[in-house]
Amino acid sequence: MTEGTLRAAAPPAAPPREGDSQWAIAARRFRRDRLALGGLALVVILSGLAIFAPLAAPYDPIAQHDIVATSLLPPSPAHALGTDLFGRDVLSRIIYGARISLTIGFLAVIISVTLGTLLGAVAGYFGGWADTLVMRFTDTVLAFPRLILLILIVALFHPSVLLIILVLGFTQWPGTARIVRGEVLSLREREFIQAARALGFGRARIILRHIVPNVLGPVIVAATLGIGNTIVLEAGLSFLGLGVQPPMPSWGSMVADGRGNLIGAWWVATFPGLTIVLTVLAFNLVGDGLRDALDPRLRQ
Amino acid sequence: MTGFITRRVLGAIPLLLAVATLIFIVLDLAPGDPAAQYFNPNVPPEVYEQLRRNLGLDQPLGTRYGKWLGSFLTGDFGYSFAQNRPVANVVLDALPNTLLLAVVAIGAMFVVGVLVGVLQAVRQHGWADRILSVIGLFFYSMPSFWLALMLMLVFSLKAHQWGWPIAFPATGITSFDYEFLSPWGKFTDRLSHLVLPATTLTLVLAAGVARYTRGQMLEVIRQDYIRTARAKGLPERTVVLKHALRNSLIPVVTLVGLYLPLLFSGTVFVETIFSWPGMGRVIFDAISQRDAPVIMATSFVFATLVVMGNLLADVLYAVVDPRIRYD
Amino acid sequence: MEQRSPPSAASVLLCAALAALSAGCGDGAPESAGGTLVVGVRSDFSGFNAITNSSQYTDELIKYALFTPIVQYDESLGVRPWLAESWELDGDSAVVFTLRSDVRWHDGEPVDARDVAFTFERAKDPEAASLLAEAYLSQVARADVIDARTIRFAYERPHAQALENFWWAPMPEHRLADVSPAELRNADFNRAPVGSGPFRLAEWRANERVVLEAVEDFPEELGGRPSAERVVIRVIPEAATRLTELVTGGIHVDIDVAPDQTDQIEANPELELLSFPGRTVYFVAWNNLREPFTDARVRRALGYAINREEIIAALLEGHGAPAVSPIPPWSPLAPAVEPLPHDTAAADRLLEEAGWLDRDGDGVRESENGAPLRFTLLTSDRALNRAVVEVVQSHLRRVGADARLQVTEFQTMLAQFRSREYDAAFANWVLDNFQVGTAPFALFHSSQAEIAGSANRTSYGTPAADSLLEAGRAAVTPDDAAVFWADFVRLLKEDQPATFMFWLDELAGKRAGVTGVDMDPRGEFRGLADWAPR
Repeated sequence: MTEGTLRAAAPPAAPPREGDSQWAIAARRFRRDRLALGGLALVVILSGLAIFAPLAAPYDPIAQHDIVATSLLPPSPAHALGTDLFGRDVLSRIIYGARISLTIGFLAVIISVTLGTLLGAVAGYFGGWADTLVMRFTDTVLAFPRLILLILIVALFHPSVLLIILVLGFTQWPGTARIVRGEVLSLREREFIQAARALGFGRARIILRHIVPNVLGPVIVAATLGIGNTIVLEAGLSFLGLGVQPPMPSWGSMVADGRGNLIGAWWVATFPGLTIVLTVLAFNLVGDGLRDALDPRLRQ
Repeated sequence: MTGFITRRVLGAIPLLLAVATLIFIVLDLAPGDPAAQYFNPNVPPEVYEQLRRNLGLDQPLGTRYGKWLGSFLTGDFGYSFAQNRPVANVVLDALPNTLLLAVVAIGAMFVVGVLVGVLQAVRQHGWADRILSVIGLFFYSMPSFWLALMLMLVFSLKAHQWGWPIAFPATGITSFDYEFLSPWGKFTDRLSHLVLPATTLTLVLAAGVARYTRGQMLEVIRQDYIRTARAKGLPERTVVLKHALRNSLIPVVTLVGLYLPLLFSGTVFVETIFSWPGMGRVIFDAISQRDAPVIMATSFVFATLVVMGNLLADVLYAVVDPRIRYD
Repeated sequence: MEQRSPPSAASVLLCAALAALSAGCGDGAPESAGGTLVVGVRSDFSGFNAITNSSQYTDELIKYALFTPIVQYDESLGVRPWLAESWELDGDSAVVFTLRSDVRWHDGEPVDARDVAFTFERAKDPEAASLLAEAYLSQVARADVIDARTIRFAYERPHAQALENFWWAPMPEHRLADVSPAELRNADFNRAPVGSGPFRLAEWRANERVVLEAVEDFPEELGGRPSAERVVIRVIPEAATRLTELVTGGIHVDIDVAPDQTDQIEANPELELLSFPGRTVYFVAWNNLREPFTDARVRRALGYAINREEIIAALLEGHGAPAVSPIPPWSPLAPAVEPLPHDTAAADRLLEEAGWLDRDGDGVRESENGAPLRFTLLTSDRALNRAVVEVVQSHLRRVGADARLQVTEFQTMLAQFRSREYDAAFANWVLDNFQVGTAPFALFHSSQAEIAGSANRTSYGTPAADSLLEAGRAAVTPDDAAVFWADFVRLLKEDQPATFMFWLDELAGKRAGVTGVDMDPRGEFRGLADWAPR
C-alpha cells in the first residue's frame, strides 16, 4: 500500500564508510534523535508484550464464556478496551495479536531483505546480462499493484500464516534490490574492491565479505521501514478476509470483524486499528532515525 | 524523444505479456472454478458440466492459453463469466471512475505534499518541521481501510448526527437525484462525493511527497547558485520560490510513476468502503468469482497504466528539465 | 507524439478517457426527482433473464418488478393466479392455463402463450444450462400452445405441488428468438430487458445502481401502477456504509442488515427494523465417509454439544429460528419436530459409548488406538460464517472435540466442499422455491451421494431415508406428503448426517417515512410496487 514512498526519499548512493567508527558515529547521532528513540521504545515494548503475552494479557484471548452476557461490552475497568462479539477481552486479543503481526513482519522482511540484497548485489556487481535479467524481473514485479497480486495468490490458495509470510516476503524485495544495486555499482569501482579482485579473491567472497557489509546501512533502513509496510499489508489482507485463521487474533482481522458494527460497538474495530497505526509509526520513526544517523551527508 | 518513447513502449510489451502470462498460470493452479459460482441447491452435475463447456473450461491449459492470447492480441478481451457481458464493457464502465479518483487524488497529493515539504524545508529543524513530520508519518503509517472507515464515521455519520454544517456523502459518485440538479448542482454533487475517497488516498500518500520535497529542497538550498542568489541580496522569498522550488520540483515529478501502483492498491479498499464503482472493486470481485477473463483484463490495464505512468514521468522530467535528453 | 502501443490497451484507455469527460452529460431524464425511492443492496445484479439467472435478488426483481410470472404466491404461501388468470387441472397429469389479455411487454406487444412456450423450450434445452429448468421444470414434460391465451403443460408424473412448478416469468419470444440457447447467458437483452412487470428498467450502471421506472398502465388487478415513480437501487458492498447511508438519508431502505446492526436501527427514532423468516438454512455438514463421522453416535453427540440457542441469541440477536431439517418452519408442510436439545451430558455419554475418551487428560478425546477427536471445520469468509464457527469450535471443545477452523474465500471453500474433500463444513442452503421435497432429496438421497459434485456432500444415504424421500416426493396430496416428511425429519434428527443450526431471519431497515414496505418469506422485493417515499 505505501511501499515506495520512503524508498523514493532514500538518499542516492552514499559515499563509502570507513570502518567501525562510522557505526559509532551513527549510534551517537541516533541517541540524540528523540523521536526515533520514542519509536524504538515502542517497538521494544510491543515486542516485549508479544513475547510475554501470557503474562501481560489480563484474559485468555480465545476462550469464550457466556457469550450472551459478555458480548460487546464497552470499555470499563474490567475490560479496558471492551469486549468483542464473543465476549473476549479486546486488550488481551491485541496483545496476542502482536505475536502474529510482528512475526509476520519480521520473517517476511528477513526473506525480502535477503533476497533483495543478493539479487541487487549480483545485478550490481556482475552487470551485463545478469543485471538486465534481474532488473527486468524487478520491473515486472513493480509494474503490478502489489496488493492485487497478494489478494490473487492468497485468495486462490488456502490462507495460512506461512503462506502470508512467504507471499509478503517474496513480493517485497524489489525495493531493496534497487537500493543495493545502486550502492554496489558505486562500490564496485572503489579501491578496496579492486584490491580484493587483484588479490584473486573469488566473486562470492568479494560479494559476501566486502560488498554486503558495506551496503548494510541502507539495507537496515529499508528493512525497518519494510516491517511497518508488511504489517499494514497483512492487516489489509486480514481486512479482506484473507488473513490468518480464526480464532487466532490478528489486528487486521479484528478490525475486519468489528467494522460491520462500527457505529454500535466502535471499540472493537477502533483500538486494533490504532494499534496498527502506532506500531507502524514506531517502525517508521526508527527507520527514519536510522537513515538520518547513517547518512554521512547530514553530518555537520 | 520520439525514438525514446517508441523504444520504451515496445520494451513494455514483453513485460506486460509476462505479467499476463504469470496471472494466467496462477489462475490455472488455483482451486475452484468460475462455473462453481452457480452455487444453488438445484445445480446438478450435468448442468454444471454444461456450464463448464459453455465457458470453454473443459479444454486443456495450452489450448485455453493459446486461444486467450490470440484474441487478447487482437483486442478481444472475451466475455465475463460472472457478469455475462463483454469484458471490454466491464472495464469501460469502471475505468473512468477510477481514473477520476486517481487523478484527483494525485493532484491533491502533490499540492498538499509540495506545500508541506516546502514549509518544512524553510523551517528546517523548527517546531513546524517536526510537527508536520510526525503528522505526515502518522498518516503514512495508517492502513487506508482504517482511515476510510474513520473518515466515514466522523465526516459522514457523526457529522450528520451532530448537525455539522457540512456532512459528506459516504457512498457513490453521484446522488440519486443527480439527473435533476442544475449544472452547478451537478458539479458540487460530484465534488462532494469525491471528498472522502480522495482524501483517504491523498492523506496516506501525501506524506511521501512532502518528505521527498523537503529532502530535495534542502539539497538544492545548499547549492552554490542559491548561495549566490542570497549573496546578491535577493529577498529570501524570491530565493525559495523562484530558485529553490523550481529546481526541487523536477525530481518530484518522477514520483508519479512510483505512486501509481500504490494508488491502485489503495483503490481496492477505498472503492469497497465508499462503494465507488471502479476498477479496484471490479478486480476484487472478479478474484472472488474466479472470473478469469476479467482478472486478466483488469490486471493488464493496471499494469499498462503503471507503465504509462512511468513513461509519462520520464517524459515530464525531460520537459521540465532541459538538461535531460533522451535519444 | 508518435506513440505505438498495444492496440487493445490503447483503445480501451482512450475510450475510458472520453467516457470520463462525457460523464455527467444529460441522458434524457425526467423533470423532477419527486417520488423517487432509494434502496441499498450488497451486491450487483446479474442479467435479467429468467432462463439463465441464478442469483436471488435478481430473481426477485424478475418476479416482482420487471416481469410477470405465470402464478404468484399469496401471504399464506398458497398459489394464486397472476399472468394466468385461471387454470384447470387435466386429471393429475397435466394443467391448462388461461393467460390474461391485458399484460403487455414494455414495447407494446401482448404477452401470450407462445412466449410461455418459448421460455419453457429454451429452459429445457440442455445447451442453455438453465436453472429455471432444474428448479421448476424437472417434473414438467411438455408444453402445447392451444391458442394465444391458452397453454397446456404435461407432467412427467403426478405430484403434490404441481402448480408451484409455474412460479416463473416468461421471456419475450420476439426479442430472444434469434439468440442461440448457449448464448442466452451472454445476450445483450439481459442488461437491457424488455419486461412485462410493473416497472421497466431505465438504467443499469454496473456496481453502481439500477434505476426502475413505474409502468403507468400495469393491470389494476395485478396491483396497477406502482406507488413510487422511480426506484433507484444502489449497490453498497460494506454493511457499515449501507447503515451510514440509511442513517443519513442517502437510502430509504437497506435490504441487507446484519444482525449486530439491529440495535442501532431500533435505537434510532428515524428508522424501523423489518425482520421476517427467511429461506436460508445454516447447517454443519459432517463428511459421513470420513472418521469419526462414519459413526452416527459421534454425529449425534456433536449435535447435542452445539448450543443453537446461544448462537441465535448472541450472534443473530434473536433473529433466527432453530432448524432441524431443510424444510422451513413456516412452510405449511413443516413437521412439528423439535431439534436436538443442547445437552453436553448426552454428548459425553454418546462419545464414551462410541469409544472416544480423554485418555491422556489434554482435554481432547482419543479413540482406542490413540487417534485424537480432531478434525477441520471448513467455512467461507462471510462475517456470519466466521462468527458461527468460532462459537461452534468453543462448544465442541467443551465435550472434548477439537475442531480446527479453516475459513477460506467462498470459491475455495465451495470447491473443497463440492468435491467432498473436507471433514466438517459449516454451510448454508437457500431455497429457491417453496417446493418442500426438492432440498431434502438433493441433500440426502443415496442416488445423489454417488454423483461427483452433487449436492449430497455428506454422502449420506440409507434405504430408510431413500424410501421416505421417494414417498414424500410422489405423494399426490399435501396431507399424504406431510406424513412422509415428518418421518423423514425424525430420521434426520436421529442420524444427524448434518446438524441443522438455524433459519436466519432476513433483516432490513427502512426510514420511518417510507410507507408500504412489508416483507415476508416470499422475498425482500415482494412488495416493491407498494413502497413509497414519504
